[in-house]
Amino acid sequence: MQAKRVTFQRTALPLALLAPQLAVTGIFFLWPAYQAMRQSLYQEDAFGLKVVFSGLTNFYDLAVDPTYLASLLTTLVFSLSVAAVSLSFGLLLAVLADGVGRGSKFYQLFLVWPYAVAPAVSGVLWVYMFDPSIGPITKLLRVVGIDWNHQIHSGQALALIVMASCAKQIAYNFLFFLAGLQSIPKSLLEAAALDAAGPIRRFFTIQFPLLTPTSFFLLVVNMVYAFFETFGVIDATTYGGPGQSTNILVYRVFNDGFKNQRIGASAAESVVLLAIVAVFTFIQFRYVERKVEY
Amino acid sequence: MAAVSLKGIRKTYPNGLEVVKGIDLEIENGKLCVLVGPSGCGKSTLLRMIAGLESVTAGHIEIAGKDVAALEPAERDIAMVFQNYALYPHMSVFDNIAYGLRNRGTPRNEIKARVEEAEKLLALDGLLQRRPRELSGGQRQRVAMGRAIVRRPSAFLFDEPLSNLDAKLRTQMRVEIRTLQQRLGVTSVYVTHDQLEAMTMADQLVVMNAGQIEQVGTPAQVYDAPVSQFVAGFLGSPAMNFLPGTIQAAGDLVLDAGGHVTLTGTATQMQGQRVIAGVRPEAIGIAQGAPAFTARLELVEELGSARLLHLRLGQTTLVAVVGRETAFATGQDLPVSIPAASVHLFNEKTGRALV
Repeated sequence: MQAKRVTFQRTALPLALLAPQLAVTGIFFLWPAYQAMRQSLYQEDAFGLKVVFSGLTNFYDLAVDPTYLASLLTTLVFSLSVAAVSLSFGLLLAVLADGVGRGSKFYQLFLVWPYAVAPAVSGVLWVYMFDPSIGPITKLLRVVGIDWNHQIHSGQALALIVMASCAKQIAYNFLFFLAGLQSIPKSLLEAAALDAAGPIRRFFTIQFPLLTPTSFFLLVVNMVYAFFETFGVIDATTYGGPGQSTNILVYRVFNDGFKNQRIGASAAESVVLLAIVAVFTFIQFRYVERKVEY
Repeated sequence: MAAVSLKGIRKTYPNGLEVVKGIDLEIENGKLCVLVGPSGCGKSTLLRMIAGLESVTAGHIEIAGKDVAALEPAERDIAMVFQNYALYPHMSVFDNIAYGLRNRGTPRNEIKARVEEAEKLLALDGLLQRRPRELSGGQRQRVAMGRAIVRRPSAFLFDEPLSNLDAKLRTQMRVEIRTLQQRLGVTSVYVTHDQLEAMTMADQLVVMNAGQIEQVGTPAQVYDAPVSQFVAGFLGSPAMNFLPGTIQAAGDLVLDAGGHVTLTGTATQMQGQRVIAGVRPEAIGIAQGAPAFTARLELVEELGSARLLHLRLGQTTLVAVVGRETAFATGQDLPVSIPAASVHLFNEKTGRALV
């Protein structure tokens, strides 16, 4: 099909129409990105009195900084965990909701609701629920013999931020998986039922393979989310601690830049993050656009 | 023994809508039974109930002598061909055909042999490694058939399998399916809304309307002796002409639109009765024998092999099929004759045939 196209005679009007978006992109995206890249090549003292061009020194320092590498590893573990947990729960809930006939809209509404909660608010709630002294879940855990204190145990802290970050993503993934499941023609599942495939086999041989494009898309989106949008969750729960155990890259950028006043290092970390998101975006454009025909 | 036997089948949806209202049907072994009717007549629902994809509100279904009420679709020893083929898009043709066999734990070499047999039977040579989207409509249809065949079931169920194909391919696939069915000798239930498909393919033709069976018989029986005005009007293209009138003196039907039709047989004793006379377009004679009435020619449709004349008689229009020997000009008044033997009489109120 041919797309409808409007052709402008002069360039002034289209530029004027695009101006607001261009301005937003320029001021809030391109300019900060440029600043980060420029600053990553300079070293600045804590009081901002002296700025020295230092080439790639900031990047070299990062590469040999064991805490940075540890942070990178933490980020990877964190992101993959968030993606794995939120994708599997989203898919599970979607499969269950897909099977519900009566009242399905009710379930859908409530399962999507968490997505509307701001990460920081959700983070505060999680902190309360798992508070080492007064949290209701902490008390429950104590009953079954688990001593929960994410302020001391780094594994528990990581688990907490994974849970807090997933809460929102599960709703998002649920929505996409449900849409994906519902776009699979019913007759395919009926044909499979006639072909002696039970519900579980139908899921793994028909539904899940046909959801591959959705799953891949969500994997990328969830990774990007875990890498970049979980700042609020961490700032509301663990502040990167205990020690460095939940200090993921995006939180570190903030810490180094605003708390430690290491502008150059923070800028270099931003640039690394920028490169990572560029890779994700590339993967997404390259592979996710493929569609399945039914 | 009947291969498929339906007794008192009913289907009522939770909202109270009754779509199948008591169906009794016996399908003989090896025969192709066509369920035909307008959309919404319950034919697809009935088929899906046989398949086990739809629950049965009341009644008994037996397939190959076994009550299948409690059985899952996969356990009913049937295979189904869906309207949209329902091929698994992420699997090759081979895997599509082999899927059901694999799920049933058929040995690998047996699967291979059976798929290759289906490949030969259905002219799918060289297509086994392709994906469904790389196939043409007719090829997809054949793969869907292949998936049904390799199972070697007691019965095939076809749910409007040709409605997604273009007219030419439909004619071709119609013949292919029929030939294949006869060769394999597998009892088949075939659902369609296309009366031509129904007439040409059926051993046993079942005309359905509003959740009930109107008539069962061979295509010729149903065509020649329709039991109701609905059946008479549904089968045949162009459709039968219906002319209301009153039977006057012995054997003289006076049409409301004007004109007389001579009747023979038992109809001569039904004096004073209001009836609807049904006449097939090919039975109408133009300028032959004693005319029943004259009608104005409004339109001529050229079919190539014949011509369709659209005639107006008072407020009614009727269609006649004539050969191409004589040319007719629109606007002419033509003498129309209706042979007594070709008249079907229906009760004006109930639509039932009067014999």
